[in-house]
Amino acid sequence: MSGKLTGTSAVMLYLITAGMMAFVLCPIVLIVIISFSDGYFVSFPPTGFTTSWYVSVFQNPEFTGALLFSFVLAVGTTLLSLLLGVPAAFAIVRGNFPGRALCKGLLLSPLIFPVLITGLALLQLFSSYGWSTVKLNLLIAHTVVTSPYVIRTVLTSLELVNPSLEEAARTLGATRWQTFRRVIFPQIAPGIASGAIFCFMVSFDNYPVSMWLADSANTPVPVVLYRQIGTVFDPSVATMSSIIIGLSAVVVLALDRMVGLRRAMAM
Amino acid sequence: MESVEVRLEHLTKEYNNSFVAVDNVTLTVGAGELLALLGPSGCGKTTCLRMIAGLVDPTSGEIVIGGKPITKTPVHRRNMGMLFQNYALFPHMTVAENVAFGLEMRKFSRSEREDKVRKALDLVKLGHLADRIPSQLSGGQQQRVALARALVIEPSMLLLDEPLGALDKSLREQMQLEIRHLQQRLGLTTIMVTHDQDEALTMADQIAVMRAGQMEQIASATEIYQRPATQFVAGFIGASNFFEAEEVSRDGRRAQLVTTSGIPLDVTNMRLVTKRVMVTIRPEAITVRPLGAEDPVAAPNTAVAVVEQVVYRGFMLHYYLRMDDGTEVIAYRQTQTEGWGPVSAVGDRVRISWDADSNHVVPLVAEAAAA
Repeated sequence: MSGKLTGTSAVMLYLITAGMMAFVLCPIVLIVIISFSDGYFVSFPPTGFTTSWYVSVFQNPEFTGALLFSFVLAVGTTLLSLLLGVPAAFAIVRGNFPGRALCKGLLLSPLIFPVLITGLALLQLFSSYGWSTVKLNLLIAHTVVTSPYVIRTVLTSLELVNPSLEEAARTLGATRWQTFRRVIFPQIAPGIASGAIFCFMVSFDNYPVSMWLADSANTPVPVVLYRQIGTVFDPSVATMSSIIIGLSAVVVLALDRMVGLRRAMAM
Repeated sequence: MESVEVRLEHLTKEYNNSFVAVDNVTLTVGAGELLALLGPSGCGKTTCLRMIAGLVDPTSGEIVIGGKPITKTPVHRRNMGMLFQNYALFPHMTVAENVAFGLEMRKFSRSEREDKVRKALDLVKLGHLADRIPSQLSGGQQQRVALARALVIEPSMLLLDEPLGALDKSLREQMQLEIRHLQQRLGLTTIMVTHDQDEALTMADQIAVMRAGQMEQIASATEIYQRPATQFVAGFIGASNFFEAEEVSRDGRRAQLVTTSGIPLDVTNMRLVTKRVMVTIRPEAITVRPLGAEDPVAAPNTAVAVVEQVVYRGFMLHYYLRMDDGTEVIAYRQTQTEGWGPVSAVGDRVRISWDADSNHVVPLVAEAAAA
């Protein structure tokens, strides 16, 4: 595409883009504003300015515990998804076995199943086998939901890697492992990173699966948030949400610094 | 670097027990020689090369390099330099890092690596670009880097997989001579895959023409052009006119034949014992003259044809002719020689003639095999 839009069409395009951005960002901004509201109920416009909700939320062990639990769960889920997803993507792209297309479809299928149903199915599975370690169940369930994101992004970036790069490395004396580490990995690192970000975010704010599997001792933060809303509708809910939004932004920005997310997302 | 001889013995590759990509190929490349595997796409030439590199496992047969069978040696221990059509440079490494890659795999010390990389880059005249990344280089420069990367490991042989296919014509011709010069200077036994006959003729000591997985002919460039072994080779390398003919009489290697359309042919090198043969005549061997009344009607090695098209191709004029019985004939006439201008216009009847030595005999392909 060459040339820039001018005149009416340009103005229209800017308006539509601005409208979309407002649509996406407004609720988030609203929540952040409310979190500083000096009132006992959620109301807009806010009735004053206070940071006291932040103080009280951080003094709430139920919330901080859940926040830490969700963070650890999301990190664990991401690592496990990478461990399973990267080799799986590699096998699908470079492997030469019958049923590759079917394999790919099955591995990506959790993306199109309703997550609520996946969670229920896993609950039934775990209870029928009598698996009662909630932490492990949550880790497995989250990985089922998130691993397709890694597989998808790594698949895409692997497909762009010219196979003769591997062949060149091999003829130059590299073993398979050296070829992966020195030639393939640097090519697909942005894909792995963006997959990891998706994993982290999907796990961190997952409600529909956690809802079925969590118990009172192991509660991810979205479940705590939902309970809180059910009990009392004060600005602390908005405060908790703001903290989650901030934490997510920090993780995304950190990964961006590390591997260049813009490059990864552009693929 | 010591030159080694390379032998392929009954090399065969079958896929899924049905498709035979390479069918019982046996050939020898002399130490320091360059052999070109030439053929249409899908003829098995690339599979052949990849088996030598170790990237494809042969179904049967043996690959012998310098007297040592290496068929079971894994690819990363074969010590071969390979060039790919798309250069296959590592995009995240600088030119110098690309060239150093093979040395790192061989555990050379940093100082040795730097020294060897510098020498290799000087060899391909790219010393000044050591710190660039591949995407900043032109196609020709990229392939030179790939060449330096392949040579720096002091490979026992060089494998070229259509290395110049992506370059434009004049650069390609320059690189052909450059690679050939380097290969001869280093005495590096080389096998090259190409579908470009000019490239094969320019670079190769020996040309191996492949077709449908099988070897049609292995010979020097001159031999393969002057004396193609089969109709396929005659048609694939350069252009040829084909006349099916039958023997009338024979005296040693001299013979009188007559084509199916009744043209008498004198043949000086009747090398086949069969009575029915295919005669091939190169277009540049055919002389086109205006039809004169004094010409003998049925002299050997002449015929009458109508000019259908004349194409000016720079240093050649191409005449597309049709004989009275419908047979098409192509004749080339060199330009820039005395009186080279078109002798005939489209629609003219002309006399075509050629020397008896230009008649080359190849086996007549049976209908079933030709189809």
